[in-house]
Amino acid sequence: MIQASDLNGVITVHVTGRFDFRLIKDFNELLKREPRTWVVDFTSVEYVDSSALGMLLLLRERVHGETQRVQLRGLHGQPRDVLLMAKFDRMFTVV
Amino acid sequence: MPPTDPPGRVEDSPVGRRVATLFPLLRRAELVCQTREEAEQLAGALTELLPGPIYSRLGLTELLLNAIEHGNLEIGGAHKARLLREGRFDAEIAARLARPPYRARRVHVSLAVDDAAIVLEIRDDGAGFDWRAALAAELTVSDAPNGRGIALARLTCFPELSYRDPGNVAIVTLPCPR
Repeated sequence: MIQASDLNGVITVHVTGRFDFRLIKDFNELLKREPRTWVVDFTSVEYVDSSALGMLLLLRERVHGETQRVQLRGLHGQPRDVLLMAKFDRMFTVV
Repeated sequence: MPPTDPPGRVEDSPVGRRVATLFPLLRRAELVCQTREEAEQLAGALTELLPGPIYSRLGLTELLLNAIEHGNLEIGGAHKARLLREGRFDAEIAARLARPPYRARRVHVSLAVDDAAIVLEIRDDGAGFDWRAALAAELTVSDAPNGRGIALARLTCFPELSYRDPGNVAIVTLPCPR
């Protein structure tokens, strides 16, 4: 499940449960917005697959690769292991 | 909310408890899937048998999705990247699943267990691919929105991942936990 909240030019994306290929369509809808900064909250994410990595990279393309404009928060467990393995700490701001 | 994975050992989930009871008796299993949703179900259930369920689930899901998307549906890596960027990937998958020759194709999964090892084979009805290059690829800093599945499978849970020529059969060998 995916939800987004918009506050002062910052869109926070909350994903719950599994962040995988089944969310591609909903995620694409979100990409139509144009905030200054994106925050993706992983606090309630238990699992990611390679499609989740792809979605985050499409988000990064939307902000022209400006690392500080996409923040990944609350990473833990399997999602943290996978994102670090894919070197996402060098492509995003991990807080 | 989608179902969640057990936090650790197989025995910790209700399904896992039932499957774990059966596991000592299991020698062979054959499963077939066509869609990504079926692949996800298959991976979720089958990985209850495998060590490190949540990581095995990732690895098996990646191999199954590759078999469907790239093998059976013949969507190449560059084509997938373009479809993802244009927001048309799901629609293209659905369209191909509905028309020949793609709609007759399936992914066949076999599981063989003996005292030494669990061997999983994932076979698609496609033409294969350059699997040697794919197995040698590392995860690097890259803008590409796809192309990480095999490296993730290999690095997170299936170090003994191989393929049979022409590349339409993935073979995973795991030490048997018995």
